[in-house]
Amino acid sequence: MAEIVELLRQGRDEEVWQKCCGFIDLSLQDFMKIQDRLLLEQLELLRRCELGRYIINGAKPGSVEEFREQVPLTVYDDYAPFLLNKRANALPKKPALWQYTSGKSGEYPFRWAPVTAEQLKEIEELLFALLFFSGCKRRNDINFREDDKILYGMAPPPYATGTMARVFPYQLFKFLPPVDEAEKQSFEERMQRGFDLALSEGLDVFLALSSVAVAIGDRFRQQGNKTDLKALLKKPRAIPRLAKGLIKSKLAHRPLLPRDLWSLRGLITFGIDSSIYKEKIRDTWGVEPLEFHGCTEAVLIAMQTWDHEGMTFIPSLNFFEFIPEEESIKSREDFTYQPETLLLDELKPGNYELVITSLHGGPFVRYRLGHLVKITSLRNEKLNIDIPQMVFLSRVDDQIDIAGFTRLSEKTIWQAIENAGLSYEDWTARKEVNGDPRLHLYIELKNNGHVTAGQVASLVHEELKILDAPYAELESFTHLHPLEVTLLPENAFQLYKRRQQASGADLTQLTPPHINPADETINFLVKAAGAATEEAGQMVEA
Amino acid sequence: MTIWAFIPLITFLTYLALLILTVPSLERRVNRVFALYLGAAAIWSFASFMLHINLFPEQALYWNELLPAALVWTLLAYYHFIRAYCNKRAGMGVVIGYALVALLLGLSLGGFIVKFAHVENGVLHHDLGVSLYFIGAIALTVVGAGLYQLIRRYRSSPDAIERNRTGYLLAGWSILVIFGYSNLVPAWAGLPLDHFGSLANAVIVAYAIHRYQLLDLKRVLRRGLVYSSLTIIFTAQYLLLLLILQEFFTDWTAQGGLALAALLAVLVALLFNPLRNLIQNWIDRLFYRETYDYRQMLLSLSDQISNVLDLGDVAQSILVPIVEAMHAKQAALLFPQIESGDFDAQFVQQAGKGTTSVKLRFAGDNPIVTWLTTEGKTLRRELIDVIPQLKGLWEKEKAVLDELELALLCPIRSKGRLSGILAVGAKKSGIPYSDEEIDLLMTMANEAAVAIENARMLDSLRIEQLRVKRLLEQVSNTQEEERKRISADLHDSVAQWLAAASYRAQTVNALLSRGGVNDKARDELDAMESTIDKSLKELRRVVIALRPPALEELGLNHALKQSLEELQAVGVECRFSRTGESFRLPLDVEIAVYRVVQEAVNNIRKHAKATQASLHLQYREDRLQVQVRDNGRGFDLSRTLDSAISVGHMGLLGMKERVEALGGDVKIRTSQDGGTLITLSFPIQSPVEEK
Repeated sequence: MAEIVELLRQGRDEEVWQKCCGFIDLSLQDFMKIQDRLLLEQLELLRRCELGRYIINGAKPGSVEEFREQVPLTVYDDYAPFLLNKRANALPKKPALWQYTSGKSGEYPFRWAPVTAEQLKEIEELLFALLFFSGCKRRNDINFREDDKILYGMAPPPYATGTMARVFPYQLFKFLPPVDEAEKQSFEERMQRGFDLALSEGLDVFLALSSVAVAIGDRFRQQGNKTDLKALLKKPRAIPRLAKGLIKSKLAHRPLLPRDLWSLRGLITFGIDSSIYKEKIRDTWGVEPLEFHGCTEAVLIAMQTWDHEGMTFIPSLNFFEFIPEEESIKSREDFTYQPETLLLDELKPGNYELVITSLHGGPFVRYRLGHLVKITSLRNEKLNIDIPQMVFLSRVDDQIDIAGFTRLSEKTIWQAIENAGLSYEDWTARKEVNGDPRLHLYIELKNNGHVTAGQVASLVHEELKILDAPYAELESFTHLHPLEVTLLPENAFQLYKRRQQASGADLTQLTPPHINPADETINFLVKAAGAATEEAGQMVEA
Repeated sequence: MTIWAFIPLITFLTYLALLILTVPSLERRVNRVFALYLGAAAIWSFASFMLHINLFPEQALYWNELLPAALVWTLLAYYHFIRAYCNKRAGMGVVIGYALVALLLGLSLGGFIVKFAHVENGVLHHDLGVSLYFIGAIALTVVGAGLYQLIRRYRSSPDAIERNRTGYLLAGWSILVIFGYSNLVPAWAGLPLDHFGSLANAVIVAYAIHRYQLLDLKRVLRRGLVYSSLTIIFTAQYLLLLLILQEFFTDWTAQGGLALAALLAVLVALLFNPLRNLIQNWIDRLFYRETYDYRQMLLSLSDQISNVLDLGDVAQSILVPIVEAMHAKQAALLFPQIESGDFDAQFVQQAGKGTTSVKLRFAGDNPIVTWLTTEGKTLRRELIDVIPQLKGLWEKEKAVLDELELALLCPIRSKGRLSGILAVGAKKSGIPYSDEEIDLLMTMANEAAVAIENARMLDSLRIEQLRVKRLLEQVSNTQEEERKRISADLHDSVAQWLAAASYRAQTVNALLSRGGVNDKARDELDAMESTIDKSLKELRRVVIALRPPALEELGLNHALKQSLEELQAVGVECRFSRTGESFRLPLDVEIAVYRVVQEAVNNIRKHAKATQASLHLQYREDRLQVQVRDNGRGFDLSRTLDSAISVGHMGLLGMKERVEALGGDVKIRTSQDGGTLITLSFPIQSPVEEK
């Protein structure tokens, strides 16, 4: 990183751009050459380690073709004996750090994944690329300089997004608050402190989970144009900024929004909901968010460029294979079936399950991430990028199959709820079969009382028909209305969160999953939360 | 004119020269801001010169009114340059600063700053009133901010070269400031001593540009110095001659004077070329010092090596001057291996006596080789971590480059293909190579390319001649052996059996002539039939060995798959795979593929001690690729080839010759205990459907 920082300091912007963002100018052939070569390097490392020998199981692939023929596809279970116990000596390379993600119910509490020093080096460059893409209008257009202020609204380490904060060039930029200080604070404290500092010192870049970027906007809207004078007196440097913001919001006849206070040069968001909230985030922050796709095991997979359209795959962190969606479904129905995979240069537009092999000494080999992605085009014509473009659809197991007609993803349902114009706290949905199979949506509305479950069902149903053609056909062919809605009592999700906090649950388990929650979760949300709300109401009356 | 006027005059001329030299490099932001500083400093020096020369005493106040604004502008412009050098935006401070300069200029020209001013004996007497404190405060702020930026930059930079550059700027800035405040010492007040500081700063910046490539201006500086020196010398010479002649011939008419001036101009013009060469030589020696002679050698390289045909001599002529002229730690020439296409360091020249155990070698498919081939430009080591096409380099490949302290890789191209690589190590001083040096190396590599190509061609011709000789012998031997084998086969089996059948026919004839068909005659006929059947089978086997019918009838895939059976028979685990839609190729190509695979299979069976082997066919639109891989013990390719040539075992070479004759290509990759991979590829012209 010191190297990129130094190049930036010396004003060698072209070299910095080429080093960090140059991958978008690779031809597909060059992209594949990099993939092939780094895979062969990785195979050498795997041959020499216990994990590699275990996974490859005696095969000696010497080429990409042989690798695809001889090495089986894997899942986390295959790595669990090595990674859950952090057996560094058994891995292809010694890890520089470990990161985790919460496991799904019935699996492991956490799924640990190591990151090597060489991978970190790649990640550093890619973080710069994300930053540059978020603030540029053309190639070689670097709009960031030393001491620019960055607010970081993602999870803390050892979550993967926390690792990114550590890797981020904090010696070059000014983090609000500084990374060392931030890591000791809770998420709430960190954000609060960050905003206080941003009010006084300014803000150039905001990196956040999309939900966080939206929530901050909502808080601003709820707060209206009220200002706490006492608090302001404590930070006089914030007054001019606030005054400018208030004037701008008054002139626009709307509540004060972050866009009135800061002219961001870059906004980077992460999360399945990024595309759902895209418009809302742009309205709130005044700039288009730049999305990227990654996860704990693969770290970074693809990122958008400055047209904010499809994401471009990254050649040097993972080796990519793709299982066509039909093959993926088939293999999940029949566990003995080994689906065929395609390489990036063999793809056609369509839906695929992602399979990765870590490069630079990472542990995963032909690992099924369980991510369903859509290849939107084989190249980005607008920006002349010769690499296939993707969007993330959902996790393959986070889909609800309705009568074999359609598979609704978390993203589709979420988008339908948003498009229906409902004001809601949160939601969860699952497939229930009571006679006919149906999609059952449990939703907690904000300021409930004016909308009935039937009305919500009707609104969401109409939006689902627009978003998902097979869903619409389901009704026209079978006259089935497969959506049922239950309105959850007020504070149901809040009480669930408190219960989880009390039981010491991890940050990512404070809210129930959006898709296919357990019976116990549904029971709590519907009954226990309902009873608690009722009890609280009676106490107030008494 | 007093001596004090000379100081600002010299600084003015120096700044002006630097400004002219900077103009061609204005595309970089830092250079533009530096030019702005030079402009401000030149104006400041010029105003001071005009004031101290005191040609027009009534203008003293006017020039003095310009001075405070010009001084602050110079300091501010230098601070602006420091910010640009540190890659920071100009910032609000600089904008406010420029606004203050404009305000100061307005107030000064409006008569609100300088109360009075006059120059006596070169010493300025003036009164700035309370404005002095205002100007001092602005200057102090700018000075402090500049010092802060430079110190911060110096401390934060891990790069030694960068720290040196910053160190020079810091020193220059400090001297500028110290002399700038000389005006506060009562004894020196009014003297243009501050310009000494300014001049020292300009000289230090010029040195940093030259020595540490501060602004990539070295080449411009070297060229510019020649022409600016020439201009100064000629102007002085011309004026001096004119002055002398006018002293002697005071009563010349205007026409006479004009003619004299023209005569002098012609004289000066005649002196231009010899003088320019002299100055260029002098400046080059000044710039390059003890490496000058070696540089001259490099520049005249093409003359020296154009007739040298020994590759070792050519390498020596290139590598020695490079190591000496560039003060490089080492330099090496890499050439491709004929069989594998890998580039090996065949000639190495080191500066000291130290040797390294690491040998530089690039595999034929190394991205560096691909990049040098396609780009045809010099590759600097630091760019290897920058260029996206080189992302596929392995960690251990990069480690070798670092261990060898490699700094530059220059492609040696001949007829559009990469015929060699010139690898140059880092300089002993650690200073990076300048653009000019890289250009010099590239020029030299281009000039050497022809000589290298000639020498290599001669070398390959010798090897080729030997190879052809051996091949001819081999062909003749093979033919003889094949004839012998067929003759022995037919003699030992078919001929014997047919003789027996003939004998039996005679017996049957005898029996039949004795009359009637009896059991004995029938038995003899049965035996004869069996012998003829056996002979037919043996004949068929011999014919099949000469050309496998499976190849013609069932196609290449089937025939190749069949060829693995003999490996399976000796316990080698075999795998056959194919990608792409298969199609038929011209028969001679299919036979060649079949024979090469047969040869490879024979090698695996006889020598490789492999437990696994695989055969992969890839049918592409433009080519057929066949890969035969084994996990056996491998072999030393170059040694095997050398011994093959010397002793006449031409299996591998035979394969290559056969395939290349049909427009194909064979690549062999092997390593001790790492198995062998033979890749065979044929371009496809007009495929026919597979039966």
